[in-house]
Amino acid sequence: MKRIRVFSLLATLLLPIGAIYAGARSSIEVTVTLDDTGTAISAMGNEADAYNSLDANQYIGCGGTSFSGWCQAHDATADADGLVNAAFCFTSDPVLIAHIRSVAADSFVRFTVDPLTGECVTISVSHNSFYRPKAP
Amino acid sequence: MRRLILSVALVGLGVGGGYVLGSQRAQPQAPAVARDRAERAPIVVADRGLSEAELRRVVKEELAAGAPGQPGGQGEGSAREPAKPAPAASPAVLDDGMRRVHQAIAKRQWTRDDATALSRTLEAASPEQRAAILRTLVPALNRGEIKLTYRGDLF
Repeated sequence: MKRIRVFSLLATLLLPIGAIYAGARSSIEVTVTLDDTGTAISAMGNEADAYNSLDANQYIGCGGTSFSGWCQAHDATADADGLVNAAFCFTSDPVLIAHIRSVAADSFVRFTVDPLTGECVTISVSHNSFYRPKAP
Repeated sequence: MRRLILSVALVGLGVGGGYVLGSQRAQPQAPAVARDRAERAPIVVADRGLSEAELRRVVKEELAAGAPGQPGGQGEGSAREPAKPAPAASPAVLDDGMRRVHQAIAKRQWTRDDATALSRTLEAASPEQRAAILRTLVPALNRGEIKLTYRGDLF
């Protein structure tokens, strides 16, 4: 009887092993990059990780119409005067608009901005199994 | 001996249960992969035994049928919507958009009402006007001169 208890305890300890080997996972929260003048020139992050983050500030994503598109991102910091914690860009380039259309709810998104015009220079979108989905 | 078999069975149950739990946690990613595959499904022309000449003829017929003004084609009154012409440039549209952006810079904030109004303005604007308005608004946002007061689409 004592031996059964020991092995039952062992079985309970081994239970999480299966949970550990559930596939590779990656978490990328939103970061905004500034140039030397303090202007936002790029941003990247995973949409689901921004949504699932503990702060109420982060977001990243893109949208648009048939004739124009835009991307926007905000990092984890709260807004304050003089603080640049968000990046935006717009485009009328059909190729970039097509990239924007491929953005899904749990995509990794990265975009770079021309600081003088605000136009999107590049938009990268990635869908991978190691990105976790949005939590309810 | 029976105790030993029972113990081995319990250990197996533990490992198996853990594996099942892990698999279930990993499952929510699956629909995203499936959706991506569906969206990016390549266009496959089924091999129906058409010769090259037949294929050319079919394509020509389809192109002719799709041309506007052709009898039986997709011209006026057909279900296919014709391409929208670019909106004519109206100075009032540009003025309206620029005024809103300059007001936002003065107030140092961009509201949901601003976004809704600018969205309408941009729909009526020509591509050049649209670019002029956004080339004023977006760099100001990136310099931190304007803050969004809401969480939502920029325009």
